[in-house]
Amino acid sequence: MAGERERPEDRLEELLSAPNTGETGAPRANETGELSTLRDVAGDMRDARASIPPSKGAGAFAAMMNQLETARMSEETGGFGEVIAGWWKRPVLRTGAAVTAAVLVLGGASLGVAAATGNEPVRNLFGISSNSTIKVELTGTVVSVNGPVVEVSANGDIRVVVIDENTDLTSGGDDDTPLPLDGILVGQVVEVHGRLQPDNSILATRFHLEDGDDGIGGTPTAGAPTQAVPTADATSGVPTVVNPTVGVPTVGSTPSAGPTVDDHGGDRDDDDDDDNSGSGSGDDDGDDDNSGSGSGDDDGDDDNSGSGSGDDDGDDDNSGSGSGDDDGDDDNSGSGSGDDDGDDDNSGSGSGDDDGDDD
Amino acid sequence: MVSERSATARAGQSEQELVDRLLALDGSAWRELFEANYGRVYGYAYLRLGNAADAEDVAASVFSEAIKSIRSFRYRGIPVAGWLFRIAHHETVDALKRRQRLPASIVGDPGGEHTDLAKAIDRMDLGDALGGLKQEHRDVLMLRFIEDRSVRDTAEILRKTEGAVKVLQLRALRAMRARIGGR
Repeated sequence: MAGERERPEDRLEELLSAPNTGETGAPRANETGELSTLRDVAGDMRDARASIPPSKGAGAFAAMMNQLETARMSEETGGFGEVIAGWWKRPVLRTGAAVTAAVLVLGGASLGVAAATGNEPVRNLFGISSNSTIKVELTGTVVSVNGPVVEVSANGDIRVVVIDENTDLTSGGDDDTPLPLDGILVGQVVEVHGRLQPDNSILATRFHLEDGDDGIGGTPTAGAPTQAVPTADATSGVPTVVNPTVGVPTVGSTPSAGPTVDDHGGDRDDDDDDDNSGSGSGDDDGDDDNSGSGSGDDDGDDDNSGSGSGDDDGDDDNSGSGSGDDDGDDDNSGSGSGDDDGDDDNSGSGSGDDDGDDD
Repeated sequence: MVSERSATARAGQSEQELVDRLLALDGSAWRELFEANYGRVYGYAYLRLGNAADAEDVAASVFSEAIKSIRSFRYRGIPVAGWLFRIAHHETVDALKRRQRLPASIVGDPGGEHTDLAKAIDRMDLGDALGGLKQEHRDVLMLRFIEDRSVRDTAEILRKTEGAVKVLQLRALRAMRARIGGR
């Protein structure tokens, strides 16, 4: 629109595209501070690029193709086992599958026992070779500790985690030092890798305090509650089950359909994002917003969605009331509607524009 | 605007097609994915790990892991490249934990008019700073400044409009600045 001031993101791009000196690229008086600094940050990244040694990735490509072949063979030979393993992840179907299988194949009283308990013979029957084949990963909050038996709250469920002599019990974080059993405290946020047991407990192969990539450490707060602490990681720590054949992670009890980009290799959620989405909210789409269902448009696209609240800006504000303060600044605004133009003002007339477009 | 949106829609269709082919374990699709993304995955891993051998190991793991996990991927508008890069991030974090190795400084000789910033970067490893960013911020910075892609290319890869990429870029650079020196 004629006479409208240039948006900072456009001006920044103009600076980035131009040489450091010269008429076009030179910062204007009122943007010398921030935009020129941002240009310098970009310049340092470009310098860093030059330090990266070349790699054609021949080894990586060969490994990928080998893996591809393995996956194809697995598909050809392991389909049935995978289907059953998929059922196994659902308690109702798991029970049904166990009962059905037992009746069909084993028969007799011994089969009844196996079916009732869902124990090893039934699992073996379906190609799940042992109770160590179903991998589980979860991040949650310790709600009780009773010797080697730890109850962890994750996504609203309490999971029983058993630690044995083979468990890799560590403090997590960069140093990741060994952790004694009595170092596990109620209220700590922990990450557990383990294997599902017939009694639905998890035998931990790896148990460590959440390392606080998002600034959330494993250290409990004073007077730690006995219920799950709704931290970012705790709430996003959806227990996952890894398919025993190909290691495909799927979301366990999460009502939202299917895994998402955040579910690679199980949902470890050590990905530095800041989402606080929980199960059922439908927001697990790989962005870092805090939105739940129906609120918080933070997709950087050019739509005008995002009605309702939704502070999602990676800044340090606490806004969220009002609508769509998502401007990358550190204000606490949120009043007004939809100012998301990348500047630091608190303006917001109009509504729901969170797009960086020029409409 | 309309053309930009329709271009985005077209990109979405082709992205869905790529996902379908990847799900079918189509070798040419995986090759395509590899060729389009290896450099970024490797570059990111290098920045965080500090040496080429480790970065290559991580990059190899990323694509192998992607094959293992592709069935869990559901295309919901988030590009495959973004998903792949998230795997790269996880793998790099795991590698850092396993090896307990501090990333090497990758910043060159500070000086000139960037003295303050360079000092700041000397204190904070650039790769670590990148690793601490939000996913979409990492994506846009890696594409724009490590891979040297244009705004248009970046928009296509991230399935966003060019305007949205510029906004993301501004925010990402602000976040990066905050992490490396808080100026």
